[in-house]
Amino acid sequence: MRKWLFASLNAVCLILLQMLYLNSNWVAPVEEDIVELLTKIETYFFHPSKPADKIIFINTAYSAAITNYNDSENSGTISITDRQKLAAFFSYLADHNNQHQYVLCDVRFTDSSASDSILNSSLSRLTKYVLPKHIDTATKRPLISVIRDTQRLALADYVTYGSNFSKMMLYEKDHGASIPLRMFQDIPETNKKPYTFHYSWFGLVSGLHSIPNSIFPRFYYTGEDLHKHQVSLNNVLNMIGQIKGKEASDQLYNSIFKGSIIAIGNFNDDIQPTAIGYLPGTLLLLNSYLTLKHKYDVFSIWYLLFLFVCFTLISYYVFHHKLLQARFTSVNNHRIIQYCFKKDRLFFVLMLVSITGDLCFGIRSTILLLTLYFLFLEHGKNIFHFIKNFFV
Amino acid sequence: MRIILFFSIVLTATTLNAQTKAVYYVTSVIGNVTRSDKHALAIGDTVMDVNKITVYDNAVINLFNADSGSMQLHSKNTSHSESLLTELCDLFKAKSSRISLSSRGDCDGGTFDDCLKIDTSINANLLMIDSLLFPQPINSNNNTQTTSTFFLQWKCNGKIINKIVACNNGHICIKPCDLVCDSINYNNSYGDITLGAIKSSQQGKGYEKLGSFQICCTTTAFINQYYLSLQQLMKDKSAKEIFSRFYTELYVFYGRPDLCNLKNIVHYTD
Repeated sequence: MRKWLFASLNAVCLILLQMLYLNSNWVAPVEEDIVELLTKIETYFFHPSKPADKIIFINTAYSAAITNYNDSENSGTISITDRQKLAAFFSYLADHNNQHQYVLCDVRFTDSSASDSILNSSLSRLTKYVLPKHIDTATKRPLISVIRDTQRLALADYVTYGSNFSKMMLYEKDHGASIPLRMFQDIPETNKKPYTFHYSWFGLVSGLHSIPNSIFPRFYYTGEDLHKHQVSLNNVLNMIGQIKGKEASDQLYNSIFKGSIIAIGNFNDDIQPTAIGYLPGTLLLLNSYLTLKHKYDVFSIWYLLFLFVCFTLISYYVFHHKLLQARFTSVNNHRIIQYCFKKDRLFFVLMLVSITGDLCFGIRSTILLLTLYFLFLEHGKNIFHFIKNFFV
Repeated sequence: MRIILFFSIVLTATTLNAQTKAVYYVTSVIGNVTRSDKHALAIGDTVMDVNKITVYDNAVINLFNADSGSMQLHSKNTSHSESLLTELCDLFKAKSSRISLSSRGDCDGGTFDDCLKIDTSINANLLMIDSLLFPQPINSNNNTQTTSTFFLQWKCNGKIINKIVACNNGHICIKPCDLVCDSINYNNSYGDITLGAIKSSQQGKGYEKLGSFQICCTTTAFINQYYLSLQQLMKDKSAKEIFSRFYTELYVFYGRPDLCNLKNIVHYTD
């Protein structure tokens, strides 16, 4: 009984450590490769089914304008997204009673321009939208935005420890929610109350709903999808401009924009390296939101129970040297099973736990770190045994 | 797993060991560079451990190793604590960097001209600056019974678009309205066009290829955008000068523009 108690205590500690790790935006170098591989397999072989939401991708890469640029070192002109065009589009949405589902406008508004007042004026009429906020790496403070309604700004940065984008931080204690989290809170699920997440050390909590603070996004939309479905802002404005009469205009609005999520961003130049190649930042934010929406990376009581049972069993066998090897190899004489349990038994068992957790609960466990931990336990015991024999 | 772990530890240890035990010859020294025992280094000296030499402010030392070649050290890259910390950070990837997921609207090219891209997705407004005229080929058979209908075949982003083109006063004319691609994915400003003739006679129909060429297309939206940008960039210049520069730029990019057409697009009057 005492042995089981000790094993279950170890399992609880492991779960807490696991939750801490899932909450941080750090990805262990060994894990990053595994996650990349899993992402590639999932994206290219299992093709995550596209969400039912109607999503419109609007590319601003062709809508460049110019503005004056001034800082302590440089001054001159700089290219920015044409805010007059954005304002015209937002006004169009507002004129049709904001019947869109949501607007994710992933355009940086940190440089002032002559069109800012027009943009702010059109934004004052728009509802259900989010705009990006960025943090100055030197001062650790948010960069000044030209947008008046700062309540609509959410973080659109990611922190990486390698070179690729792999994890999306959902909330930062000092700077608030990120765009995917804001969208998840703002877009209510049918017949459900909207979520209001609070930060805690073990994740983000809203009632009985808990999610880790950083997630590995699934790639529902890839660059190929974007290439097929994107439309340029100029094209949209031209299309709107050519439609004459209220009835025709309403018809166009209802068929395209009504009830849809509108993702606006520069899909040509704002690209980030990911496990499946270079993708625009807007797509990463949208995929992160869709991952949350599809209940991936959500802590559930069943997941915790599953971890508890698995970790208790593994801890028990590791602590008491009754490793799975003996049982499995005696039951099944298959060479592969024998090999797996003989050579890398812990890795194999933890990989099974990880795959089951991913398939059933949608959370990618950290098998390699756990393997190292259990190896340390086993190895540590051997070291003590060795010292005891040597000195006594 | 253990084997992998073992080899990774061995590999790391070997790399670090190899780095420290290699023999380096001092090929040049500028400024004050000393060993750990404070002895100054001079040309011809040997160094066993590069981490144990101190390079003071503004000093530079060049070292040579038979296997790894030359290396240069200066005060910045010999700070022991910094290099060790950097190595550890690199090993565990513990050094983070914050990257923005939004675009301000600028691009890799840097200059504003680089950021102005041709919006090729607006095909309804695809603009060919000028009409193209080709002399109608003389009927080689001198057969007056044969009638010719001319067509163009345009490869538009993988799609092939066939269009009958008008022939007036002995000239085949390709007008801007002939080049409309309904694919929103059209991303090539250079269109491959093949001009051909359908020859109908009493014997039947036949096709003849007259030639192929490339054209450079742009959009009215791009033209407007470009003109507006030039106006902003050349604030101190007169409207005439701006339009003149605009005309020249388009000439360079797309060939001779139709002046009247261009003035209408940007609403310019002399």
